[in-house]
Amino acid sequence: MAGCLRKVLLPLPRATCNTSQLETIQNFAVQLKALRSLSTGSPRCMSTKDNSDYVINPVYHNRNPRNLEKMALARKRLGWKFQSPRKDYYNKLVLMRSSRHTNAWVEHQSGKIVVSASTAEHAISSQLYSLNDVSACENVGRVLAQRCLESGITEVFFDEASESTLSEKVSSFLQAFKDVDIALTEPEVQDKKFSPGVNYDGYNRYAEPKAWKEDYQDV
Amino acid sequence: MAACMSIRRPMLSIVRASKCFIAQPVRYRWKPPDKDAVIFPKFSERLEEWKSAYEPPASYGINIGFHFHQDKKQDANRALDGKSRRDKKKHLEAAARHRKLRIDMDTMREDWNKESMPDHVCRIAEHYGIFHDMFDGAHFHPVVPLEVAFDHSEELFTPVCYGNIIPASETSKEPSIIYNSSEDSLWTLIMASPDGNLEENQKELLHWFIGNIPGSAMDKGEQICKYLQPFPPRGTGFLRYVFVLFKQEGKMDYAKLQRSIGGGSLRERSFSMHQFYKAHQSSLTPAGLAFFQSEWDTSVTSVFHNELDMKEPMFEFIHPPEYLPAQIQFPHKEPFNLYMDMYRDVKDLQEEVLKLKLSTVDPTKPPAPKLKYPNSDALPNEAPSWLRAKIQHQRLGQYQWRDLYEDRD
Repeated sequence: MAGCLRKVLLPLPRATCNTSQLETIQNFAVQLKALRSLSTGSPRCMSTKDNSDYVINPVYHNRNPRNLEKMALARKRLGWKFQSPRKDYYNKLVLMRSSRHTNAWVEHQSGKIVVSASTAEHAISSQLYSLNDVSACENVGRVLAQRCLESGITEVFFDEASESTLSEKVSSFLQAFKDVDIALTEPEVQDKKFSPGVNYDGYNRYAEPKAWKEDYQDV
Repeated sequence: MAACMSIRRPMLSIVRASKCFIAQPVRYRWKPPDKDAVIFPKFSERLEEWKSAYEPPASYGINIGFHFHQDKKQDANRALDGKSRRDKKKHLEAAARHRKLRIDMDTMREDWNKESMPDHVCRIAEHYGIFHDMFDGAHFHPVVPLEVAFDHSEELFTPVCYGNIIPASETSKEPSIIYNSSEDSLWTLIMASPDGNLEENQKELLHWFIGNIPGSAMDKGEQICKYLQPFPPRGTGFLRYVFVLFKQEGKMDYAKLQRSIGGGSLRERSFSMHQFYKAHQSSLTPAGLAFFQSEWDTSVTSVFHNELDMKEPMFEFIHPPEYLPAQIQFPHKEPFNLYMDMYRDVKDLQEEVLKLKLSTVDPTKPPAPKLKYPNSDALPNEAPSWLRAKIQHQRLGQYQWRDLYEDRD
């Protein structure tokens, strides 16, 4: 059930359609339909179009693995409080400068590299004078920012502790992201607001026995 | 004491125990994993166990597309061309030193399409779960650059890249599709959404299907299924819409498929790319890929009402429930009303809120706006403290009373 989306049956505002009210509203809709067809005999209720028997699943599961991250609902790794490098991100922007090349990439919290740009690519290096100067950093930044937008990444986390932003290379690299409106901080995870009550009919964690977990014994 | 409970200490104790043959007692806070197990699993064993929890789809790791090989050494040689970089790029030096060197993005893109685009796009598609949900884990390199764009006017258009976000209102008309091909080759283009099927969530929804396209002349192909504009429902977040270009071995017979999906109703459009590919895999090879993400906006409402003739659904996110300890008879230092509320059935609580809400609603008037200082009115003098607190919570819309005001913002 976790991470699913529940269907709200009538196009009413969200707050009025809670679990307990779903049934009430559903019945209300049926009554309303019956009433209408009794009083006017209007053919509108008997839809002749193709989708009249289409049943929308009340619990919808969005299979897009990036959806909850986009909505800031997915869990982030926490890491330790003063840990460096920090772990609390969905996508991290990394700039790596070596004596030969300038590489930059966006890394997902699972460790996968999502988008990358590098002066090792002929497409970039063919138009550059040097592969590790300020203009190389700036242009790698421009290319990576463009590729981020094209792959739907509009917010990245940049760890300022990892690089001195005073350096001209880093600041010009970051400026390329600011120019195309890619935020260099990620939104906070939206936690559930506390509301009392237990759903005794569905899945709940009332008096759940404590399970052995490798990592969290001292919490 | 505290160190005794950490996970590293038992390991050390075992090492010591093995040396002097005395078992060091290990203390755990509640339930030890297994009292008799003295030997802990190896790291490799634990890694195996952790990996076995996730089972990849059956076709994971199979390349179903065209061969793609990137020769990095050749690229490097071509860049230098036998000379030193400093000599070859002398003309760019002044611009680079004055921080005015800006590479041409169009040229870069053209070179990138030839060089590493298939590799990069394959990686991003993997990240977005396209291969997992549509091809049962089998992957391919999109060796044919597929340019998809929703045209608005002669100059304005919205390109579809590989995961970019496009407002649903900009996708009302069918996009233009450009790719390079020889005229005697035949192609099939499919647009499907792995998240768009509202009836069977495990299947895709077919949005567009054109088969037997000679070269890149889209209008000469057979339209098996008409274009249906994306309609991401309200509250579901970002849905993926994927264009896949297949290269055909010869002319395909889609007559049977057209009979089953040609009607165009949502149920007929229920589609499984994996099954389709499995049935035709001897004569189809995936060669191009483009996809975008889209979110609900106001234009979706009219699609539901006018094109699909349906009521518009609306969804809300179900947060995973929190842990709640067993209720005790005499809780220490807990306000009795709040403590009891925590263990009430959610339906009772919401019924109470709804009744209070309906008692104040006048169907002939719009709902009153939320007050700026809702607690400025005096509280009843005679009321006990718990009731005063409850009234304050109601006025402020806290806890379960949040539902009283949530739609008035």
